[in-house]
Amino acid sequence: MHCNPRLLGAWADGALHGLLAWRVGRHLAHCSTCQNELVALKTLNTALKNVSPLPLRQPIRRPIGLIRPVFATLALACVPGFLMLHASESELPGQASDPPRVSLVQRAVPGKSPRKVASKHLRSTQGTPPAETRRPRRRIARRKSRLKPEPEQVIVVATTLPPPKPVTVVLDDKDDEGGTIHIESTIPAAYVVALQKETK
Amino acid sequence: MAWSSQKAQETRRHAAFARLWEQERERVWRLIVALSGSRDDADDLTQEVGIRALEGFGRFRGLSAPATWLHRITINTTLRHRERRRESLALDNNAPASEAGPERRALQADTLQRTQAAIERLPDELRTPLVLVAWEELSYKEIATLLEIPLGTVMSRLHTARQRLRKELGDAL
Repeated sequence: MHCNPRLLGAWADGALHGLLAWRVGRHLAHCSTCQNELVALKTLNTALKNVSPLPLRQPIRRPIGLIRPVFATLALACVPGFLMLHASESELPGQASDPPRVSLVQRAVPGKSPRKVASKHLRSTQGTPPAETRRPRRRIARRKSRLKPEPEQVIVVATTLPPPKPVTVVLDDKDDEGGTIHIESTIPAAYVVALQKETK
Repeated sequence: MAWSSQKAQETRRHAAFARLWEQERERVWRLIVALSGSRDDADDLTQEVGIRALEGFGRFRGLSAPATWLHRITINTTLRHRERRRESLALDNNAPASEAGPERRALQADTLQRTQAAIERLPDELRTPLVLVAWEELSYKEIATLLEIPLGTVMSRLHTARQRLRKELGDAL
C-alpha cells in the first residue's frame, strides 16, 4: 500500500473499518512520512476542538450495571417476607378472628375455693383446656393451692391467653428492688402456664 | 365530515412534529452553532428552522428518517444565513479561560483567533464536513447522508479542508 493522506485522515477519525483499516494501520507501522502526517493531523484536530463554539455534550448516563439491580431485587424479595413475618407475629397472641380477652374480676367468697370458681367459669366458657396445658396445671395447682387467698383479694381470671399488662395479680412493693409480682393460686393453672410461657 | 377528518389528520401531524422537535431541538441547536461558528444567532435560527420544518412537514414524504430531514433543513437554513451575513460575521469570542500568564494567554488567544478565522475562510462545501466531524463528531456516513454526497467525496473534502488549514496556519499549530 502506498501513502494515501486521504485514507490516513479517515483512519485518524476512526471512519475506516475492516480490511482497509487494517491495511492503513499496517502501512502506518513502518512509514515514517505517514506517522508524521498523523501527528500533524492530530495536532490540527486538537486545535479545531479548542475553537469549538459548542458547549460540552451532556455526559451520557452510565448503564445501571449489575450491583444496583441485584440489591433492588433482594430488597423487593425481602418485603413480602417481612410482611408475612410481621403478620404472623401480630396474629400469634390473640388472632384477629379470636374473641377479645375477657377479664373477669370476682370477689373471693369465704369458704368456697376461688380456684374451683375460676375452673368452673372456664369450663362453662371454653370447655376443657388443651392436653399440653392440662398436665403442668396439676403440679402448679398442687403447689399453689397451699397459699390461701386473702378474703378481699382481687382475683383475675383470664379466659384466653392474658395480655402482658393485666397479668399483675399482686404487687409486693415492700422490697428495695422495685417490687415483685406474685401470681396467686387462684388463677387456674393452665393460665399460669400460659402466662409463664408468654412472659418468657 | 371531510372537514373533520382533515382536521384530525392535521392534529396528528402536529403532534408527530411536536414529538420530533422535542427530540431533536438540542441537536438542531448544536448543528446551527457548529455550522455558523457562533452562538449569537443560534436561538433565532433554531426557531426559524422549527417554523420552516413545521411548514414543510406536510410535504415530507418519508424518504429519509425524520431526524435526517430536519437536519438537512437545519444545514440549508444555516448555510443560507451564513451567505447572507458572510461579510459581517463576527467571531465568537467565547474562548475558554486559561490559567496561563498574560503573554501566553495572548499567544493562545491569537492562535485561537487565527484558527477560527482560517475555518471561517474555508468555503462552505469544505467547512461544513470539517466542523461536523471536528465539533459535532458525526460519522462520515452521517455526513454523507446529511449532505447527500458520496462517502468518498466526504473524505476528499475533509482532506482538502485540512490541507488548507495547515497551509494557512503553518507554524501556529
